[in-house]
Amino acid sequence: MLTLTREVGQKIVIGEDIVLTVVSVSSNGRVKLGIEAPKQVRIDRMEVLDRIRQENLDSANATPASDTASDVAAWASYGARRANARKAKPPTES
Amino acid sequence: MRTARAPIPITRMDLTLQHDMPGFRGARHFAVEPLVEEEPAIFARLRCTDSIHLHSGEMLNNLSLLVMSPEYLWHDYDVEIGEAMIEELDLSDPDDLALLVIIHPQDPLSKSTANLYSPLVVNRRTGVADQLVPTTSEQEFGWPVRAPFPLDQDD
Repeated sequence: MLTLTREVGQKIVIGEDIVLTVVSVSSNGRVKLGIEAPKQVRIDRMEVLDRIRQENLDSANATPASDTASDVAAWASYGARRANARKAKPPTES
Repeated sequence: MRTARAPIPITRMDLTLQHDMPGFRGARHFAVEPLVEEEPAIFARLRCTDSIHLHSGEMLNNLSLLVMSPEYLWHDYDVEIGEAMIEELDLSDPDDLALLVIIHPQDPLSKSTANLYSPLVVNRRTGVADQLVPTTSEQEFGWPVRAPFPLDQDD
């Protein structure tokens, strides 16, 4: 990994059109970065993206390759009951 | 833009994601196939029609997920969609918006969870879609990655 030392206000250019600016550094170790990039470049927090990647993978692994008639019937029946239920509880927050 | 709305039944359609689905390199094109054709069409298969790679480099054929229309089970489901996504998916008309959430199936199915943290945001007029990657943590966002299905007294 390339490591660069920068001061507040200094910038790093990545490729042609991505510019990172060190906006501020606080005494508790938090660094605020500014990012300028073309709109089509997706900028995500790594831990958030990793969590979603992992859940997508886990969900795909837990999903059978095809639906048996009894699976479909079970889902349809559950769905119909829930759709008709007058109240649905909000999810419990973890 | 907030997404709160009445439930929308799922219809058969083709989706084109603007970015790879997280976790699956090259996963852009999907077919949405409702599990049952009759109403209410709450659940669907989401079949990827691309050949894709995992981040480990491994090839994966036949990526297939179960998805659902979240508002049927979580009546107050409401997330914030940012300007960039509204523009990319051409959602200037809010009626074009539909959400699908990915199910993590379990046996029995009432133990399944749904990913309310990261819904697929769909323009149902054009089929252009993307999976939302929030800018805040699960706690701040208010909807979990593994939301348990509401209890069903018949199970």
